[in-house]
Amino acid sequence: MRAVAAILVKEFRQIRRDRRMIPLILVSPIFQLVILGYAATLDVNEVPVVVQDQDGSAVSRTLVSRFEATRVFQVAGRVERARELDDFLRFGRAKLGLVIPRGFAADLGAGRPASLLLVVDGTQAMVASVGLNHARETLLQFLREHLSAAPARTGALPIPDIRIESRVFYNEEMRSADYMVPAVLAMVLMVMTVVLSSMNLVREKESGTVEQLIVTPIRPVELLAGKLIPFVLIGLVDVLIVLAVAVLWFEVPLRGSIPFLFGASALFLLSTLGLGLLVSTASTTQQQAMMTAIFFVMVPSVLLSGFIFPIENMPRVFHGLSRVIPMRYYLEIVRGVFLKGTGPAEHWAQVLALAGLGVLIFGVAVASFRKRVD
Amino acid sequence: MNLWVVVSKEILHLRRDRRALLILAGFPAIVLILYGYALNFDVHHVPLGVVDLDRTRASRDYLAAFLHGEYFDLVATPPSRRELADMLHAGTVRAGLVIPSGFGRALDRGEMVAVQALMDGSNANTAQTALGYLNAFSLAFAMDMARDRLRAFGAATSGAGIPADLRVLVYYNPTLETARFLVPGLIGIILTIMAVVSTALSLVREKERGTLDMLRVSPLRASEVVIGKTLPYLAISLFASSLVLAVGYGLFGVEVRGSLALLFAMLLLFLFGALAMGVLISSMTDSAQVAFTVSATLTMLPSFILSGFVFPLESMPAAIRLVSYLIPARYILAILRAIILKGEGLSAFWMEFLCLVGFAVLMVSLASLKVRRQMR
Repeated sequence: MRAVAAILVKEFRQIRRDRRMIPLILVSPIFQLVILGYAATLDVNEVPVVVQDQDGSAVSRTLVSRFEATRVFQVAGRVERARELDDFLRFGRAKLGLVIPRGFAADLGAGRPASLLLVVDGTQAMVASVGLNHARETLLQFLREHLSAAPARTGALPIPDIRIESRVFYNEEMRSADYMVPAVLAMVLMVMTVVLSSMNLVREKESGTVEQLIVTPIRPVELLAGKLIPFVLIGLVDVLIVLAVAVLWFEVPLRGSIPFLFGASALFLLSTLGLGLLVSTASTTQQQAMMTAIFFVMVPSVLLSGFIFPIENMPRVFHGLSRVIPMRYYLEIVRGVFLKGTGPAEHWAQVLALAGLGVLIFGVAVASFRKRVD
Repeated sequence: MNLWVVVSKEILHLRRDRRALLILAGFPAIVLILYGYALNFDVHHVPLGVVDLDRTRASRDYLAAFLHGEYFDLVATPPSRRELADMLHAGTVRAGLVIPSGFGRALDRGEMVAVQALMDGSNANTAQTALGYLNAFSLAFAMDMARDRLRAFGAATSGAGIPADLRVLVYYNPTLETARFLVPGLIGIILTIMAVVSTALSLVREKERGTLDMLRVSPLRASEVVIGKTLPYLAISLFASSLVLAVGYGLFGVEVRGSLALLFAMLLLFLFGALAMGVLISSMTDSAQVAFTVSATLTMLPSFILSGFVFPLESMPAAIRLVSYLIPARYILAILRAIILKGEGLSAFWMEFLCLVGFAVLMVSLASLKVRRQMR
């Protein structure tokens, strides 16, 4: 125990001496929170539209005003010629072009099929398809109004309509921040316990001080504990920061129990510390450790855990792969506790998976670490 | 001449560290393969529960309109709204529809009917997209009904048929494939992360081992150190980009429509800035851990999220949009998309080009300045 304390003192001294470390540990999670909280939204609004109104009638102007009225579109310009419209798209000044051909109003009035042309910049497929859907919807709405306003033609037959009244659970206003912000917990813990801890372990190897440590009467397990505990503590401080910012600044509802959240975080740490340890035993330089940690642990975790991109949308193979990613289970718990207020009763499967993966990874890591040291 | 000394020293470091070399050269292509297949923003196969209190032909037709595509999977038909809500809570369904009794009759009379949708909003983006589908399908169904009526009624009177139709012309990415727009974006992002992170340790490493003093007493100039330390990474990054382009073409059919020479010139310009940024971070920090944390914080999330890679910049709050102008990945992304997908030349993106030039000049001079001070 005294040996562990001695190493702890040494580690904290090293961290303190690096005067940029402490502020960074505080600033980095907040930076991540701001970016994920404010910018990671797939809401599509204010898509710039360029309009070429060849008809110039009252009807066509009404149609354009319908496009202007939605939050999704913003008329970025009006042009006369097709060339100019193409230029708007080429230079990225507009993502959508609406062409109302000459005779649109006349055709519509005479009951002839009238057509519109929508030109779409497909480079950002997501924005394009959402924009396209909204354009269709706007057009249908417009036609419905137009038809209803001319009962003479429909023979006073009222037009039926179906309206969706939505009731959204858990995240009533569908704010993407509520979904993204809690996930920063997983990200911060990963960075601290996988990347930084593995680099820290390798540092002794790189600077040759590991031999000095080995000849001391400190046992490998004590050395390990002393080296890992600082990062666990820093990680938990970061958890508190993230929780505070999420609840107080972003006003994400925290509906479940905080102790359960901490319990789950501890289980998650078991896997991440194990991964960090594995990375360190497999690396000889800090650069190697960092790259291995980033590219073999962080990137796959972020990609396959449903951190930003839902697992349901991925092909089958990736569903299987994601089952061995601890972060996946941790994220399900974190998001459940925050938004749904769920607890151990709903999350027993995830808890079990986290515990199983944690014991397995950590066990293998400690075993290989001891072998290395001996 | 001195330059080559530094270059060969870095190459020696890299050659001894085979794994780092392999990661640097091959990882971008691997990430592209993973992302290209795994990322899909279209929301498909949303598990749907339906309570049909109407049980008429109209309600069945209405449902068929939803289930016909691959957007929704009907997984449950509970008898009441309460049970539907329970299923939503348990996570068996993500969306639920309650069709009221009298749905068919009301439609026949041409009235407005309200259908209730219950959504699991925890993933706001998925929920919003799914709700959008529900709205669109309902609207289309109602329009179809209206059109059928008009046809039945108007066949005798005026010109029948749907009064207007929408022709759609998609430029640059006609099938709206995700992979097509991901490939150029991924090149930009992975290169940013790799370039900055790989050089971020370059000087710190020397500081930690105490070998910086040796560099200091050597007759090397600061600029020679900066350029010498970045050149090998520049070569690796260019190799990695070519690999990504090859994979993009081979697996995802994304071909470069514009000029390849221009593409590589732009990449070179961008890489110089990014690599110098790594050296700058390295010169300002005292330990590898701090250098990593700074470079990761500054590149990983920002280049993913603030570059317009997937999240549309237009919809971000104004303050965040301003910040995005500071992210170099934003400019290279726009340029790569213009060259690869649109086949454009310099005239279409001269603004972005100028920003990149500014970025590169700024970073290289700042890094040289910083290193010069440290070498003294």
